Amino acid sequence: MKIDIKFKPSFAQATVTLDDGEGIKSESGAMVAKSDNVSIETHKAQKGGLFKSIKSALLGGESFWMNTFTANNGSGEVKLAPTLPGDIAQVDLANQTLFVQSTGFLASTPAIEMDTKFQGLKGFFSGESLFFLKLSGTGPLLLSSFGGIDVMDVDGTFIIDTGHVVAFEDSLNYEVTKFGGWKSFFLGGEGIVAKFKGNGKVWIQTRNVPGLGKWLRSNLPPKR
Amino acid sequence: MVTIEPSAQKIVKKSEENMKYNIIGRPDFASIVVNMQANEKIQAESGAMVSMSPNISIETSARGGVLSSLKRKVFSGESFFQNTFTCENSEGELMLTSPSEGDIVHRKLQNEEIILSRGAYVCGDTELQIDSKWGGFKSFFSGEGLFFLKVSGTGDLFFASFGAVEEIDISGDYIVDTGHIVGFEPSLNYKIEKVGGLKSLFLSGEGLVCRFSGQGKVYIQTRNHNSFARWANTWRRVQKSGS
Repeated sequence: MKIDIKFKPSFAQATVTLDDGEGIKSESGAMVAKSDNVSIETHKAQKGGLFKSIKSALLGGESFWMNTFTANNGSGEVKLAPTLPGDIAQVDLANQTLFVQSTGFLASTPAIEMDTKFQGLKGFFSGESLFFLKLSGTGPLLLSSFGGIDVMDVDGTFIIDTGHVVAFEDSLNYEVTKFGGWKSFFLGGEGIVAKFKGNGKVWIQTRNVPGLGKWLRSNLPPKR
Repeated sequence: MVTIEPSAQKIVKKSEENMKYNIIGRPDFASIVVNMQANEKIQAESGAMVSMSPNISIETSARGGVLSSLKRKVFSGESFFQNTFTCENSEGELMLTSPSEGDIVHRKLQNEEIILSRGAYVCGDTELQIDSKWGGFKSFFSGEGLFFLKVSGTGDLFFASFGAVEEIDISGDYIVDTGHIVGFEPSLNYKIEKVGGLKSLFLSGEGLVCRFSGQGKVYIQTRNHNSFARWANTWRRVQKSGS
């Protein structure tokens, strides 16, 4: 599998060249274009039957259905892009586990398993995604961000607005907590933040998805 | 660096002199700055103007007549009225842009044709003919609109994308999501079809795709305005009934 990410950082698109018989699993709706000999199979988001998929869709925010693209009779390509303006980062997992914010998953090798993880009750206050997808295995994974993407090495404790977290390594412990005192929590505009502890990488995005959503909400006429 | 073949020069009237333009802000927020010569004319989509010199006049008309404009408006998503900018007396500067975030592509047509998707056209030479083109029955279901836009003739053409633009030279068969097509050359055959089996049609989130075959260039955009609009729609407030 060869992955070429172009048009960084605002409108990134990944061109994935697959060898004969090789596949890639992607978020639904991510396909831009493909070779004729690349077939598409639509399946549930994770192994383990309908219930786990429903859990993944309802709780993880990621679509219930995913697509696996496979090259047949020779190599072929598929181009993938997320919905929102932003970047794509490739992470090569080596028997590792990464937690990915629900909108941050673009694609991965089919060998990487997907599960959901409860973020904690305090997430309910933030209006932001409550769940992370738990991705484990070996092989390439594509993360997508709203805005630019930055990798930070956390050593000790670091605080990140939950809307800006794309992914983090499972070597980090995290707790979701309110921002500052009660006054800051209600009036500071930050709401809920994630406090990371330990050693590991965190991928952050320079724009906040619910932030854009709230801006649109205040500017669009209501639905009838 | 554009060389004009002698045969082309006979057809060309005013395009003997190339339009002096510069596309700024590429690729994220592209705009076209044209340094217009005296008596030079440019036609543009309504609402495309950002700024202009005071000696540039603007004339708004339903180009090609009311029926043809109505067809363009209803079927191809272009504005009913087009604006024609004319530079009077001396030189002038005109800045034009597209409504979406993304790139703008320039292409000089030499007595040829290009097909653009709904809403991609920004501006061009007044010599260019713009018409709606039937996109095939299935495109009705794709949410892209039934019609493409056919631009033909000789002159400078500018079209815009949502996201970056990638040019793909197709040889053989290639499949593009209908929401990611900006334009393509008419040497290509195209067919709207479903992306896989029936399950994929309804559940893949891809819906309908366009199968191109033959030889030619297709311009794709790296973001899909339909997907983005659907996403934005989920954030809208819901009006309470009875209020």
